[in-house]
Amino acid sequence: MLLLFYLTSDYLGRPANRGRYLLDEQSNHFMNLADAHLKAALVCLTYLSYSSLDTLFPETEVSGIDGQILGGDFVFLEYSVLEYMEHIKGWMRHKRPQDSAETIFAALGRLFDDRGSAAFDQSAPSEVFMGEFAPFQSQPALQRSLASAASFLTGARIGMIEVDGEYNDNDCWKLGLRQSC
Amino acid sequence: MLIVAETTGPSTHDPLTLRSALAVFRRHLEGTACVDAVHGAACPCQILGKLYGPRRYHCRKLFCSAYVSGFPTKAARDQHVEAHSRNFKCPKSDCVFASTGFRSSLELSRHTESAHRVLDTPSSSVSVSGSSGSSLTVLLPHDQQLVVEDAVTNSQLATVQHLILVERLATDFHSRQRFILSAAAHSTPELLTWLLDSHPAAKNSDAGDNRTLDEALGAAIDRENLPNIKFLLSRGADIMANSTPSLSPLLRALRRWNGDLMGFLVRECGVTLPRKWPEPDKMLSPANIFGTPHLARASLEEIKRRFAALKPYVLWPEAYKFGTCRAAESGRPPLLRFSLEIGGDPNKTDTPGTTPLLESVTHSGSDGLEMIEMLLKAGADINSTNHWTNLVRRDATRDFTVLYWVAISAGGDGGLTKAKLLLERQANPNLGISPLYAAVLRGKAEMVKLLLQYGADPSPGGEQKTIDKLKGMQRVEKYFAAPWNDIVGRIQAGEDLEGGLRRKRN
Repeated sequence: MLLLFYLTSDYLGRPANRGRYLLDEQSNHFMNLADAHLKAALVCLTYLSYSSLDTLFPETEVSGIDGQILGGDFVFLEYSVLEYMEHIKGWMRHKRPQDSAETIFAALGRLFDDRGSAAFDQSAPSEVFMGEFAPFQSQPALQRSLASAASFLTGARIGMIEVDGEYNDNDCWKLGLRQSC
Repeated sequence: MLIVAETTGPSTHDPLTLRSALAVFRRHLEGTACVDAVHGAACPCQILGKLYGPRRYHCRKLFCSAYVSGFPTKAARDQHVEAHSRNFKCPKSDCVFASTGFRSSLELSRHTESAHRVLDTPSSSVSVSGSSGSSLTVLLPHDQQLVVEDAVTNSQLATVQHLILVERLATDFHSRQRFILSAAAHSTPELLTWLLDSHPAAKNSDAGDNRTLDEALGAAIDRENLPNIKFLLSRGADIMANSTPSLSPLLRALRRWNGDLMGFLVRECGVTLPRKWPEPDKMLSPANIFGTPHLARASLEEIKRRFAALKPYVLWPEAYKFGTCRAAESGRPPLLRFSLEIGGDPNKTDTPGTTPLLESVTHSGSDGLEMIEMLLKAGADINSTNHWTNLVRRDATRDFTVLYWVAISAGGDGGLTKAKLLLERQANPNLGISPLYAAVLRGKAEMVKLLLQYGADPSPGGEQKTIDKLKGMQRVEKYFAAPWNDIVGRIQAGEDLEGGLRRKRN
């Protein structure tokens, strides 16, 4: 908790810099990279499961969001939504202590429980993405969810998925990732 | 605590609802800010800036970089969104850009030219509709290939399918390979997809198949066929592929000298340029962008203008440093001048066995002379030696100078003008393999005279034969109508020895 407040406090300046601070030279290499990715991923995942963020999720929007905005409830939202996957991947790239896996599993499990999408169709993600998350083999459900999330993010980044989150079927040719066009 | 978002995530492909939550947040964040340009004392904008940073207005397109980076004002964001509305549609109804469109008329015309080039022979001249019974297989194999390729180039998917599946034309492996390259260059992703999927090699997608994709990517890049480039990249073509002897797709893209193309690759296709260029055995040097055939008639101004657009994507110092050699090789003085201006090294090169000066003397006429002058002015070492390896006995290596290369060159005036230029600039005629020996060997009498005038040693050592035993010596002696010792003595004494075979004949 302290870490999160530390990160989001004002003196670090722009939100884009928050969080990245952990990995940068400014922190005097306080953490090694694997450790840094682990901690950053955990911060993102934990933050995204906060109940104070619940107002952003249900369909019928609740009042009070504006108040929360001014209160600073969402200062870390942009960063964690956009970067949590990078930190998970960063953690996977490095040598991982066994016990760190358990904490990631727990945090991810909670995130998918709390923020999972009911609209998501459970079709199996492509093997490319499954393979990318091989360290999650012991948790097949998590591995599948992560692979789907990564596949979605990749699709979004290369222009496959339009603003409303749907694949643009006219442009299906753009993606060899999806087989059934 | 446990709230499962039922329907807020509209995407059936995203297992999480984070993106829609972020959208909700951003909408409210924009709503919270005041609309006035001048912020009052009670306005929340200062607090918002403090909490959420100055760039709080984002693009809604997930693939756009501004989705992440955002804009400081609503006006700037709205202006940016305009760029996404592509109003210049391709008139061809079966083209993907008929719906997607382009941002400008220029982009559209470039697309039409590269993707829908109409060949001189319209493919409708090949009647395939009522071909039941009539077989086109009577055509010679090469003509079969041309018929199909014509349909491929004109993006006629149905015709191509008919010709290959029904008429069984040109179904061999190499023809299919060739059609894929033509389709990548001229056609649409639909046709390309079909050709790739029905390709015999597609069944066993091994290294050979990837190679096809990489080659196709190179072909698409050469014709700047943007839809196909994007499609091939998404299908797994490797832009860094080392496809010797042809250049890697990335290098082919850079050699277009087209900043827009590079921008498309980086921003729209998500290509990441390597921070460090791969080792020479993995990929040819980035200096090769100066060996481009696309600037053949470009003026210095044109080169400068195009490089200004390309420069943001040329991240590797060796591209600048070693460009001189490729520019000299291309034989274009403006290109060489430009590469020297941006810091190209007039001496060093990343290709063993050659130097910029050596490349420039191989070009004839005034262009060659101009480039030699240019390089010497920039500080090229006129007496630098190059290594020559005996192809039979690889241990027998010898050094030679640029002057030697000129002395053995044929054509035009046989290198006389260039040799004179070099000798006037203090080229040493007695360095490395003797240029005089080489000139005598080839019977180049005027060259022999020139070299002797500038102090070449008349009896160079280290050769297998002595110089007067050479076969060409007879021609030299006949030319000047005097024995060798006499020739050497008179020229060294300063006499301007006249010679000529015609006069002798009289």
